[in-house]
Amino acid sequence: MPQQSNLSTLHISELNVWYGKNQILKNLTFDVLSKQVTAFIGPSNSGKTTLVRCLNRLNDLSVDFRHTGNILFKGKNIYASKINASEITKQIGMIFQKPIPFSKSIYDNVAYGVRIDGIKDTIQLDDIVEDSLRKAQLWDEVCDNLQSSPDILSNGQQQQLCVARALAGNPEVLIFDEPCEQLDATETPKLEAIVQSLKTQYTLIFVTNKRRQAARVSDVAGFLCCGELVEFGQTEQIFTNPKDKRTEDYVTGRLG
Amino acid sequence: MNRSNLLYNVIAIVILALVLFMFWNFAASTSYVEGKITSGGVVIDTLSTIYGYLYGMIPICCVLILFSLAVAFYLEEWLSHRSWQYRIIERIIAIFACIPSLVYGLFCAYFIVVKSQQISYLTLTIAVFFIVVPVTIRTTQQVIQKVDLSVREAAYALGAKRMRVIADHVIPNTFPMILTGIFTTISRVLAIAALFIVICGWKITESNSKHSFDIPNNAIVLLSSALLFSVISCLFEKKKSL
Amino acid sequence: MQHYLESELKELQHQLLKMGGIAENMLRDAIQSVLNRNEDLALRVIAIDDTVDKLENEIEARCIQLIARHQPVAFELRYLTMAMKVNRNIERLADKCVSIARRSLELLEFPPMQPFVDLPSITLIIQEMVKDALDALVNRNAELARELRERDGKVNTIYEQMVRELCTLLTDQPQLIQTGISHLLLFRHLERVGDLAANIGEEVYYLVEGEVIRHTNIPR
Repeated sequence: MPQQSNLSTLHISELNVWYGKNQILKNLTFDVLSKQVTAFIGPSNSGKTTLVRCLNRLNDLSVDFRHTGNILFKGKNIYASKINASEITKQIGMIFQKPIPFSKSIYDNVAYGVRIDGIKDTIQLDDIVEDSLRKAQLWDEVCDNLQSSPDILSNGQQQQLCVARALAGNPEVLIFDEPCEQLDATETPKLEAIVQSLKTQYTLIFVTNKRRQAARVSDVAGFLCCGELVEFGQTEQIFTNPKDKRTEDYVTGRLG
Repeated sequence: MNRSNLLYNVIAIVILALVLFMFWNFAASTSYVEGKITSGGVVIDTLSTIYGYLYGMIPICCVLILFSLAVAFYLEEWLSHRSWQYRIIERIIAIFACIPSLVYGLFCAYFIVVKSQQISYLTLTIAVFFIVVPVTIRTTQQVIQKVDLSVREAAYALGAKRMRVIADHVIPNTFPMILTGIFTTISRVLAIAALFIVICGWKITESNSKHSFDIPNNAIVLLSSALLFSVISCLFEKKKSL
Repeated sequence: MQHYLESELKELQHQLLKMGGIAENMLRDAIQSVLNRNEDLALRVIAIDDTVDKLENEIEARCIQLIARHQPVAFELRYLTMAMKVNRNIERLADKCVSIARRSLELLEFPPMQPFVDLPSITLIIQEMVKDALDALVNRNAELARELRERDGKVNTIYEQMVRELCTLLTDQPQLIQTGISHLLLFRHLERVGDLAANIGEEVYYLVEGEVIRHTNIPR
């Protein structure tokens, strides 16, 4: 396991998570390194989504969510009582399974997070919107109709819009929670290419249940099974020489 | 989608206004109501008082609807769905919402109007409360529940706070439907009032010779049993959905 | 993602060609050292071999990584499997060059034998073959790749002829047995270089045409 703490953006130690009486995550300890793609793979119900939702405190929305252990973001415990959940979510963006454009114009969608921060200056907003859309490789498609509704976009483009929206808030970490689940085969490579291009500037966490996708996009991969982090290491190692029998079964397709 | 919903609402408002206007005219044309009931003694006063208090009913309705919207938002947005408070309130509302509003109308008429022989804002508010509040809360809750959780999460993930999410997403997405619900409720209240007048009027014409107007005792029995069945049915309904 | 793998494959090809270039130079130097009885060249060839070995490991790791991560199909799959085999062949070619250089050093200890007529021609042919094999890889030239097998046949013929010549010579002058054996091994190495070049050609042919021509009869 990579242990260079100065490169680690998120440090998770002994994380246990319960929903009501069910323990979803069992004693996870790992580091997410900055400017790298960390992928989490595993069969469904293995706790991947729960894990990443802990990282940006989205689990706070569920009442019976309970956890022990520490999640340090740049050395600070994100569940510390002093820290506001919305501060954390601002710095750790998230892209969901389904593209969820708000029922506003494309421009307003991208500017949403920035406006929450209180930036009202039009020129500044224009810059941020353009920059974010370019990073999400959507600018060329939508620059002529920024004021129209996102309904005109294809599924994949809507997901790109969501990426742009998350980027506009200038987060440090970006979580992709099975972002290609609803995209078709031609849109998926595009999104993967975007992930690759974002790697230079952001720390990315990528959850997927497609092992091939994890192999393609990630630098570091973790295999979750039944709430346990079975194996965590360099992607090549996980996919060429897994240390655990369960990982081997999963990456070869015998399990889940 | 929002735009067409708004259109429907405008149409609904217009139709409702027309109905209201016609009803107003119909009720105000004393030839039917007053002509038939002049011999009814006490009854004349009662009915005309109710009719008169329609002026009072509209503001009361507005206040109560605002109140029920607030309750619905509180229940859905702030209160945990698993807490015992939520469950109890939810169940009480379910019971009251399942009872046909005519039952309330007649009960109120009997106990408040006929028995106590006088009408104040307070009694009227109590009467309208049971007709309006549970139904409005219920429909509003259902509408709010229809707002996709993912939309909320997406907004939270961008750093929005709760009030912001409600203002930006929940209200704009539910507003047309909430509006529809409000108008339906108002129309219900009016329909009850109308039915009430018609039923009473018919009763009076039948028992023309008698000087006292009483809602027959057997009607009370029927209404009680109807109430009982409604309660039972809504209890079952609740159990199934849980 | 196709785009991403494509650039990785280009990188891989670049590395392969770099290794091929080194091997080609080694072969040239080794042969020069034999023909001109040059000790320095031979030593240099032996020294360079480490670089090639390192490159081989690197390329192999890269291929495995690419296969594991991208699970390629069709052309990309053929390319990666070919790259692994060509990689192996080039490394063996480099090893042969080292062997040739060793023989060259051995031969330096003896007085020069009578020149073999065919030696310059066989060295020319095999150098040409190695060069063409790498060219075929760069240009994805199936024809050139297939043609290498025919040239390998020629090399074998010349080799047999040289061995016969050596036999006659040794029967006449048995005291030259030691240097004779060195020569025999040298010839054998040269002939193996031809084989390896032909192997590379076969792999390139598979890459371009998707057809295995190994172990099929060479049309004469």
